[in-house]
Amino acid sequence: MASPEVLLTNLLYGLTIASALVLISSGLSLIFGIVGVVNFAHGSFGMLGAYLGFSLVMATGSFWAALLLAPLIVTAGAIVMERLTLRPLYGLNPLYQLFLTFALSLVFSNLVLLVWGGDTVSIPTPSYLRGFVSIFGIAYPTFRLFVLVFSACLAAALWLFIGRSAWGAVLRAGLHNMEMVEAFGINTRALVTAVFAVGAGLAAVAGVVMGAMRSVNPEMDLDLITSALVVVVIGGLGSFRGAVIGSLILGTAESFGAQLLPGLAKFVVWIVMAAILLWRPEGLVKDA
Amino acid sequence: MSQRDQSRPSPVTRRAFLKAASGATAAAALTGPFPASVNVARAQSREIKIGIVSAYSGVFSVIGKRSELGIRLAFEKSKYRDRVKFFIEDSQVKPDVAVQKAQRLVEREGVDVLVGPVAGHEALAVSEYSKSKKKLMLLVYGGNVKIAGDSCSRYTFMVGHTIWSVSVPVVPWILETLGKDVFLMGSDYITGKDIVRWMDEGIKKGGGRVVGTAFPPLGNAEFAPYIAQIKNASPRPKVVTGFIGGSDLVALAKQFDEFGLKREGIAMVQTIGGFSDVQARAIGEAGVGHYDIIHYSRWLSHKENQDFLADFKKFAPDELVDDAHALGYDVGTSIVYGLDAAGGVPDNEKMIDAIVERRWVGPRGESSFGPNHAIRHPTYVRQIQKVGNEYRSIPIKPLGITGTPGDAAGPGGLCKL
Repeated sequence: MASPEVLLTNLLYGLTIASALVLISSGLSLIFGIVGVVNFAHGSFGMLGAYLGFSLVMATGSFWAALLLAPLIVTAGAIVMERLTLRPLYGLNPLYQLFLTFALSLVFSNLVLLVWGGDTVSIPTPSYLRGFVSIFGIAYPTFRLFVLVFSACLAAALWLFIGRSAWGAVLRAGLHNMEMVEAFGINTRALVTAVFAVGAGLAAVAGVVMGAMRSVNPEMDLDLITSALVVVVIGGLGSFRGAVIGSLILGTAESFGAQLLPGLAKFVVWIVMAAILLWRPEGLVKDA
Repeated sequence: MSQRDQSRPSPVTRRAFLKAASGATAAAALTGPFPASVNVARAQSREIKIGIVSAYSGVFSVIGKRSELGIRLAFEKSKYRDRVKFFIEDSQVKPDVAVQKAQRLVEREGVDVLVGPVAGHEALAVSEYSKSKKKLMLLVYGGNVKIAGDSCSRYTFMVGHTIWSVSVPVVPWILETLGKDVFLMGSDYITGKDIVRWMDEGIKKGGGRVVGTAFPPLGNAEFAPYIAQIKNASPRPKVVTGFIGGSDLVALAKQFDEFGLKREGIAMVQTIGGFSDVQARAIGEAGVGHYDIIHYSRWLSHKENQDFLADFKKFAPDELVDDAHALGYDVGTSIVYGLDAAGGVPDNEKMIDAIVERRWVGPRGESSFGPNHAIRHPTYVRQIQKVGNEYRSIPIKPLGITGTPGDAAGPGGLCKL
């Protein structure tokens, strides 16, 4: 049996994994909820954010410039992508949108290889965020604590926006019945574009923080989209609250799985997903 | 589309007949009863076709392109520079695709020599094909120990290394220099598993102790749970070693530092040259002090490496030379050596007999082939050091010449050529 210290260590590690997952998966979930598209290029937004973040840190020497500018650039690109490629396909067979985003993810992969090459890079963290803080006697990396708090703040802000603001009400209404929202004279096209852009921006933020904690490489898009899809399926398609809960489940399952069932770490995640789907096929949360 | 009936042969016109007849006459005149010396001279001046089946897409594309440059440089410096023609195919790192592409190169393009793919499983598949076709093949990477063991082939040369030759020889140095308590970590696939198994045996034989083992999945970027295992191992290890592949290693090295293992004085030793200059640069400060084992470094000071680097600078000024370039170059010079020995004719049997006897000092140092056609190369322990603003992987300890035994006790079993 693992000691309380080991359990707490794994819980903290799991929470950090979850906090990064919230950023990448909440965007995917909202895009599906509003746009009705399973966006296969969502992992690419994260990867592009990470590579742009790397280049920006190299050019400016500032991690904060990367954390701010890389998501903005990706957001701008996502708006162009949504308007030029996805918009003409709305209302058609959803498979077209699926194929399109899949094709775009391949284009982005090759774009990354072309611009940055196939070498792995990583985003340097600010020197004052290196080192440790003590949490219940456990030395925890300062940068990870920053990621945890930063992601939690972003998630809370988004939660409040969706739950309390007038635009959030429109968003929630759109998740249930887009035609009704349109009937009230609300510009749903702008709403769709905005959600797509915010989702892409959140993915890029996740790319930058993950690029600093882990590495930046041309295969990370696949890793990001796979994790995000699992989270969204567990949490419930289209639900922000579901994305948060799904991330917490996946993060802790991965962390405790590696500790308690070393050979089955990744397998545990799939077992958890299968069990949840058998219990609640629609995912854990239905609303926004 | 043409409306002509495609099921019938088209009628032979007088013009077509005359054209065919004159062509046949010309061909007969060219290959007619000339003295043997004339035919030899003709063979010695004909095009030499080199078929490269390597990774040209996905993350391994860097390796494919870099090793190809090394091969091209070797030919550029040879007397065959105007005769050589390269045929390039992307294996997509899939054995079935690699074999299909090799087939295309051999059977359609008629290449004289094959250069084989990067990953071990596809290298083995193409080696079996080249054996069936009696076609000479040289491997830049593809360090599958089976090819040096019970699946060895007269027609395959492992010019780069085997995963055994750039992993296990570091064990005595680890035990002697860094400590006896070792935590083993390998990516969860055949290469990681094999290396951990071999190292486990070596550590126990050498009087060391394995205090824990972990197999993170390949493609893993989050090592926090595995670092918790290292922290919880009793006794606390002095060294973490094994094989973590590619970009996973960058994440591991960063998190190893982030979670304080480096600060505690736990050393990290990677195999198969995990900490190349490119990786060292990606890891940055977190990597300084870590070790790896490999056969090449651009910081080797011997003359042949310095010449190689100078030549490369002229040939491809923008390239940051690493082991892929050096191995490609060794492949290229081995083909050139074989051609020289065969009188400039790509006669595979003569080339093979010559290449197996080749002894040379290349960018890596003194090299030769074992009787199983697996390379014997110099091996070095490298350490990541910060020099100015650069992170470099610098050789700090030569471990001598390493080959891969092809006997019954060898890692790949008994080689019978």
